[in-house]
Amino acid sequence: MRGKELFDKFTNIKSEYILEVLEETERVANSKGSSHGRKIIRYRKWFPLVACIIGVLIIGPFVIELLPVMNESTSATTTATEEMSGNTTEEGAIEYIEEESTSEFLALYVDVSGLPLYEAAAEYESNLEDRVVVLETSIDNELERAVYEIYCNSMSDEYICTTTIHDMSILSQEEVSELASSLEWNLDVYAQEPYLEQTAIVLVDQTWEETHGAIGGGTYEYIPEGKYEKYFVLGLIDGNWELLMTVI
Amino acid sequence: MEDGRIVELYLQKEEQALKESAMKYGRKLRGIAYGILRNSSDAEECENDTYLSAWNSIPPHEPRNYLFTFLGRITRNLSINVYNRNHTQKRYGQVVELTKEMEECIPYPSDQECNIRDEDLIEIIDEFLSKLSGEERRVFVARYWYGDTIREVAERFAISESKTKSMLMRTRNKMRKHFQGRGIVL
Repeated sequence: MRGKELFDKFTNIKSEYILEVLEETERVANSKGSSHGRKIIRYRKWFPLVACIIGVLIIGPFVIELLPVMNESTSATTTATEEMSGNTTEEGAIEYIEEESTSEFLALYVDVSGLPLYEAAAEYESNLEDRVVVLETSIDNELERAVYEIYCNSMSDEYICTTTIHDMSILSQEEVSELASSLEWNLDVYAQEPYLEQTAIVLVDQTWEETHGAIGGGTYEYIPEGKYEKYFVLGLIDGNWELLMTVI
Repeated sequence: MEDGRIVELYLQKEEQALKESAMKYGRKLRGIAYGILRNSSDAEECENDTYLSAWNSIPPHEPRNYLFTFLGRITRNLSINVYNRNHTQKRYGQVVELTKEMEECIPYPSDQECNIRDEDLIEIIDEFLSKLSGEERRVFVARYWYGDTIREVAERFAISESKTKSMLMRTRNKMRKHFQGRGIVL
């Protein structure tokens, strides 16, 4: 038998398997979940809306006199949009500038389709005293492994308790471009890293739980427990994927 | 209109059955054909032929409770027939890609005739699909039944393309092992 014959015979699989695809498609379309794809669209939808509302409030009979105020409002709009998108940074910040700059970062961006996939789905759970990193998804490639190792290596940090990684995915070049444009990220700052060979951004869907009240101490920013999407900006340096920045 | 009522119209040989089918399922059926053929006019032709084929098959079939999948299977078969008829003249890259991937599911691909009856093979495929997680199964069926591209699967289920690709690769490997475990020669 050849693949074509198997493809042809696949026509007669059970009806329920055919229908469940449509049901799930409909459910996903109706869902107000926070997958990154839709999140990007939300940024794009809201930004002009907020800008228009504020613009309409300001523009009117006082256009000329209020030009400085309009400038302030533009800045306020940007801030409001960032807050709305839950875009709190930790450890540092990806630079936000009026004209985002990503060309150098994207020029080095990893070929996602060319990444070798691990043959077997790896499933892990790491423990250090009370602290746990639970992996609900599989590690499919070296980039996801690098991110998982970052989680494990930071387990001894004072502020970490239990983290569950629900899903990891590598953003495509197009997704990074859209995201950077929506959030006005200046990713090119990271392309200046010496010996940088490639770049990549991994999106992690995670839940953070406080298990024993240790959170909040130390010098780290307090992040309340809950479900977050966290972006890991990575760079391939000397053959190893290294963390350049994380953004929650 | 409810499926049962549409089937009644077919049984009574009322032409309204065709209109109601098109109204309720036309877009989805066209989508199935387009997924395989990637050509709008061919897809439209397959959709129209589906209604005629259904007209000729009901009776004896009475798919009151599974009208969409009944029509969908006809559309898929018709689309494959169009491909078989024209693939030397036209290029249907999607089918080539899908069948190449499906070949990875076969333990020892060959041009020899399969030693298993179609009904048994479908049963084994259904058994395999039942063992997959819901997500794996939906992704696999979207790709190989509906003919979605990787990007379309990812968008359909709001997952990343890399995740889709790796899930499909693993499921193909599992399917090959499933066939091997059954000791069947495909």
